[in-house]
Amino acid sequence: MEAVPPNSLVPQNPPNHPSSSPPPTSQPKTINEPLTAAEVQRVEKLLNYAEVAMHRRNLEAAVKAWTAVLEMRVDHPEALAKATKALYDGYFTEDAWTLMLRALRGGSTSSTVYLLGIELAEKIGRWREADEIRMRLARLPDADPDIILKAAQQLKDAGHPENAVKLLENALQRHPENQTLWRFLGDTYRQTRQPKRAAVAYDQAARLGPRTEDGKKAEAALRFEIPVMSEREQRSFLLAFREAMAVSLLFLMLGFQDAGLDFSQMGRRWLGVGLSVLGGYLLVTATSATRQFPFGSWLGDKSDQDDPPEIVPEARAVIGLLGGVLLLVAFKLVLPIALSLLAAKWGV
Amino acid sequence: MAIILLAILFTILELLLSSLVYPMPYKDSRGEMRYRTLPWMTWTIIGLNVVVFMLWLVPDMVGYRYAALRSKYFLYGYREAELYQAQSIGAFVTFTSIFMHGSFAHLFGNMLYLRVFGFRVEDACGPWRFLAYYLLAGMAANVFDAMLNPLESQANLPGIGASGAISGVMGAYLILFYGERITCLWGIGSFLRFLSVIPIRLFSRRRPDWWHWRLQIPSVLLLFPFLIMETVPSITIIKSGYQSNIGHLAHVMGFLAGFTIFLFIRKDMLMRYIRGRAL
Repeated sequence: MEAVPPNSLVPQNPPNHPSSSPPPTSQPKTINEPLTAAEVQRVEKLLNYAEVAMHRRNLEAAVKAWTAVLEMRVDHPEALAKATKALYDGYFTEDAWTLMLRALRGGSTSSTVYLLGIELAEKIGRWREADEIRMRLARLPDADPDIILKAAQQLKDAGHPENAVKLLENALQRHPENQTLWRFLGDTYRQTRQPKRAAVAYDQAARLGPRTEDGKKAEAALRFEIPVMSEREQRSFLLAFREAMAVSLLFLMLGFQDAGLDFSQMGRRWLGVGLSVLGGYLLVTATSATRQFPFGSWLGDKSDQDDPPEIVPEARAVIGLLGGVLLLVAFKLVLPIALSLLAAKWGV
Repeated sequence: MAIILLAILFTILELLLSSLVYPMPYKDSRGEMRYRTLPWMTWTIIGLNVVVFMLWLVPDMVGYRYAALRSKYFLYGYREAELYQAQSIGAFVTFTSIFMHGSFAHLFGNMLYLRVFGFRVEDACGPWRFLAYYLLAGMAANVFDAMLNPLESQANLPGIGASGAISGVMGAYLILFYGERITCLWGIGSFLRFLSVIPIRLFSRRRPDWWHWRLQIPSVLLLFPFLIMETVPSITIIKSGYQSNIGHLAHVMGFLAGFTIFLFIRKDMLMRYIRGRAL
């Protein structure tokens, strides 16, 4: 087998080579152009003939039949796959590559063909061409997202996650509703250490359907691996105080009702409302805002370098208890009439 | 027992008939719990309401002891007199009133809505904060209903029912999950869908089903009309003190209490919401 110029479109095989065939009478068609009935019949016959030839270990005849099919349809997926595989296995790698290039340059829109092209290009060490084919694959109008995923996975496996990102971003312009692509993009961003972008991609995946397998994976990644809250937010005093305000709002409403829906009659109940702010804040600090500043820094366990310090459990128990006691006192202060009525009713 | 079963049967029939006109929600379509919490507080509240009704109020209803029943409503329902004149158990009626119901239909309807909208809101808040929010919404409904109705103190009728608190849950749901879809039974909607299928079948190749009993309605299209429908009679109540056996004004006030949900939801949920991410 002679060497063939790598980017040649026309096979230049010796006359006795099985892949050499009579020159096509017309320009070969791509998968989008319909074959005539006669051509369909001929393709079927040739494919059957190639199968039989392979069965009889007659590689030359089989390749010749597949090449004849490719003369009619330049990107016939079955013929192309089998011909390039047979040629590659027979060490006729450049011939295999030439057939592939003919299909791609002939304007093929079959994503299977592009995937075959990527596989072959990588096998023969044409990495740059493989990446180019991937990008073209992502831009195909009706490229199957599964095939794009496969191509992206190949890139990741080959240690080119940044190229996989480009491929997926391109594909998502065509398939913005594909949850798996978004989730996979999130995974790839994470691999390339871009957590913010990963969060956006995962979030998009989760929005498209949190119940599906991909949605659940995206949710899990969002919850456990990409923090929803920044360190500053975890340590925020204001966020903790917000919850204390919720508690005190309850106490204010109770006191207001106990005072006969009249703020001017609130009197000592205001003290109860004030205490409820403090009690609520302590309770929140002990339960749901254990990393907040300044308590987290004062009473925190600083052994974990990755997360802001968290108040140690013993201190949380004391703070929580103190908060609970303050809330009980506040409760008594905001409801003097109601409590006395209740006590009278129960005979306490 | 037969009377109770019959009453339950009639209640279900009544709800089904009402669903011919107004959508009856029965499920949050996606229902995905971000925190995977078992909504045990919502179930507990539902259980408490059912227990209070079945064990405390129903025996008087089926035993025709109307005086005792009336006395319970007047003692533990929400009346201004209890607050102004320190009667009954005072301000505690704000809690007791939201666990009392007047009929099977009243209870069933309220619990159905609580089940549909409560799960997700509880998931967003956590059980204890959800309880606090639920009580606050119930209180807000009671208090502002009493304050804004000019004839409330004259009539001095007890307000009962969880609907004010549940309206608060619905308001919170609308704010937090405005894009979600609610699965509903809706007669008119199903009929309109049927009509729309005719031209689709005639003029296109698509073959949608002729009939769907269940429809998925965006929460905003379900809850916003609810707010409007409750607001219109509420304005009349505020203007003229018109009394109805439905607490329209309490519903509106409870619904508006939904704005306080930002004090109750989890911190990380709040940050997600602020950043415009899906809850």
